[in-house]
Amino acid sequence: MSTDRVIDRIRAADPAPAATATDDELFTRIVAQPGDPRLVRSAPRRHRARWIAVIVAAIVFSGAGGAVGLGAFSHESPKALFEANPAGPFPWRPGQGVIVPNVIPQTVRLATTFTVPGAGRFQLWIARSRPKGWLCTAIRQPDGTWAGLPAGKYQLAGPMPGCGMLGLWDAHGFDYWPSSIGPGNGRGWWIAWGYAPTTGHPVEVRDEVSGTTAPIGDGRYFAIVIRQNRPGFRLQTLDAAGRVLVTDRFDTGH
Amino acid sequence: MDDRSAAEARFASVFGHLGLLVAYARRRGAQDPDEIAAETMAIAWRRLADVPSEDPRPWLIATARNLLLADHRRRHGTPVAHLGGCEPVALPAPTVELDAELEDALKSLSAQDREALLLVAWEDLTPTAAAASLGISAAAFRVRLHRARRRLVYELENGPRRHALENCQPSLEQL
Repeated sequence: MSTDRVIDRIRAADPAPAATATDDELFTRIVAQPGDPRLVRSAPRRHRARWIAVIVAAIVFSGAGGAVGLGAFSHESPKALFEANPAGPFPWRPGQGVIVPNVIPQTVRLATTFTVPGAGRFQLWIARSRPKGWLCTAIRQPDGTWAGLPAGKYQLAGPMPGCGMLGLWDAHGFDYWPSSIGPGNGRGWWIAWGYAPTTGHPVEVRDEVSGTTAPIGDGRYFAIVIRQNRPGFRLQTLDAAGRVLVTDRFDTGH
Repeated sequence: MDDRSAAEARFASVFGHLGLLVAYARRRGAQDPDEIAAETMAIAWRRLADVPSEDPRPWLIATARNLLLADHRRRHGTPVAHLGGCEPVALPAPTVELDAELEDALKSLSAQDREALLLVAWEDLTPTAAAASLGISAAAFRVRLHRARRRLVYELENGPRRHALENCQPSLEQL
């Protein structure tokens, strides 16, 4: 058998011939999430409108006598929030029910905190769940609400709050979700949260472009706040001696 | 068109490869190919600046492969904390239904050689695109593909006879 014919034989045995697939609902769900902030060069008007809406909503809520309008999950425990899985990856497909994760209680922990100037202190909570070993993530905002919920003040990117499969981008690299907070035009902040490669005992994440650093919490998780006065960012992990261990090869900025 | 609309339009062209991802995940034995494809697309959306606009397929397949690897490791008990280790980025042999002879021959290849063959035969990638999806040079990929083809031909031609001979070998107890 020639080496050309062997390819033909494999082709003929294709167990899943590719077909054009469309899934409008999936497309809509995905683009409803915050996109890549590096593609947004200027402050979009909708952000300004959102800021105005937040201020108006705060006035309405305070006038109505308290935090009633902050949402059902505003002050729930992280474990209860993960079990509710409001932003779980399912159902991707119509008719599929939301999968309720079995959160492992002893894995629920505060991974790290980060402060955004002008906004306050945020908390990154994580947990693991059975049976698939999903990672659960949630970010508690300075006002006690959870990012990603309708009542959340900030729209941070990522599958949260909830549990899902790890979006492992690179088996030896980073995976993180970039978002931005603030007015834009170079005066806002990038927030990148996620997990770092464990290669070489990293203790810190650094943006190579700006020099900004953030600690790695719980062995793997980080959230770094970077001023948007440069064209992009590129993350690295550092060990305790300050040596660069891994540089994210995909985010070179623009 | 504002930035958001432009991003959605660009993502729409990427999203057109959803069927490729479902098929890729199914061919590589994913438990839920739709889930792998959906997660890959979600990653593509939030990292759209990284997705090559001229041909997103290598990027998408590389991402789907990483998701499959992570899923495989989880199902086989490797802790998440070890995911960043120095293990080779290679998928196990597909668990899909193939004819036995071809399946045995494919299994005899290294995971890297097998993936090189399948990217060309099943995903219909050019060597350059397949090399990009594996993060290696096109020259290195061609060498790998050539080696894989020759090895597979050898296995298909000699595998059954070799296995038959192995099965006829008397055991120590019989001697």
